Amino acid sequence: MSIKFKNVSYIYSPETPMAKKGLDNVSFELKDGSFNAIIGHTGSGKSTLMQHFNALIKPATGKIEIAGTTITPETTNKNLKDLRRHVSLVFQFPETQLFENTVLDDIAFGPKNFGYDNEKALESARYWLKKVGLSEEIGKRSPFELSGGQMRRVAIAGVMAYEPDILCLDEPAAGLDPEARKQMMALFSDYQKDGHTVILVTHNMDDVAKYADNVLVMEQGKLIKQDTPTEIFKNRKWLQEHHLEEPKASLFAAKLTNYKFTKMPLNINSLVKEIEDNLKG
Amino acid sequence: MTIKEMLKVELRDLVLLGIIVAMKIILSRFTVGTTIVHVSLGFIGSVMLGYLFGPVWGSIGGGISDLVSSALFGNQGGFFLGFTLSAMIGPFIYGLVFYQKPVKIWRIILATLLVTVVVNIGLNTLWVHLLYGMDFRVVLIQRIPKEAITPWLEMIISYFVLNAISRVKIKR
Repeated sequence: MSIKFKNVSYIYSPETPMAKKGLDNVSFELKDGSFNAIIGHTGSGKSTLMQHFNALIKPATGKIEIAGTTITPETTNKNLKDLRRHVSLVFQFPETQLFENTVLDDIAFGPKNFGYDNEKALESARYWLKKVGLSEEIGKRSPFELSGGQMRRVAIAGVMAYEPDILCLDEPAAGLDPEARKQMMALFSDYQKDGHTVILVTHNMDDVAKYADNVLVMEQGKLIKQDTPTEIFKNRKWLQEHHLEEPKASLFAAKLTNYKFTKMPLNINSLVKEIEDNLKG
Repeated sequence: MTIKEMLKVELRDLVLLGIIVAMKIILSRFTVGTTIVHVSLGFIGSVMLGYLFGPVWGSIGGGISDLVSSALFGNQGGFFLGFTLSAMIGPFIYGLVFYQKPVKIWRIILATLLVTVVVNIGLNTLWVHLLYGMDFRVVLIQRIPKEAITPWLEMIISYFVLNAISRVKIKR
């Protein structure tokens, strides 16, 4: 049940003078239960790609196999509900989609929409409210009374409450403080370890290095590379050519002369360890 | 209240008015329902204008929304100032009934019926009569079936919309 993209292309406003290629002949396969990161600079097609995962937009050509559903250009909007129950998107700044009277009702909205009965939906809402690090007391409040960070957590809880098999996140930690960022990322990492597939669109290379086990690099609508973070961040020259950043640890390691690294450190811990090894001789 | 007091508005509210006007224009581009009965969602914009800004600013907003939307998208059958007047009177009536008052079902029924009778049945029929020189009664008979159904749908939608925005209004 892996995710397969076969020669997928997408064109915005086709057959008009404004036609613009969003995706260009993209093919890849993602393993079940993996943590995938999609990187690339602004306008490279990351969000377009993401909206294909649950058929918010359908490919102009090509074929997508995901969660037991096949999406082709001929796919109609009927019968997509089941797909969306299994594949969920968390948009950028998801807190803007809050609307219910209370936080709990807001989280329970998704599950109810996908056929949970009232009691079960509220139960899962309470569970996920705690999971995203909010107290039960907040559940009774209006979502509009919360701080930005709390609203973000509520919105994410709302998407996770019906436990989709595949969770796609577009910059979920943008604008959060460092502690909250760490918590959110740990939450997604745990979710992946529980046997779900996580797809993360991000600009933060430290998160990519730390959590991802597979990285897709997009440029101008094309998939230019798919590999592990270690392989992706190995070739500094290639990264610079494609205007991609490096994790802070490997940047720092590159500035250290007279040090020998057995492998390029991608996070602080391995950087520290490598330096220790060097100092010991 | 003098006219000057009535027109007094904070910049913050003026910006919100602009946003609501934009929302009204976008909403009126959408219709819901089947091919037989379709309801344009523009009335939601009028309800919001009246509820949030009252009759005076509501009708100003309504007028602006008509001018802007005809500038952007054009009007079916050309521009006619009468329809701008209609677009002003809708929010005006909603404002008289809803502004700074608790949301009640009788208010929704009253306001929707008033708007339907005065604006949709009365004025708009008159405009079509004036514009195309068609017989008033002929135009009226054509419009009656639609206007007999849509108000009830509009009342239901208004109820949910008003409850939702009254929630947002309290909390900020």
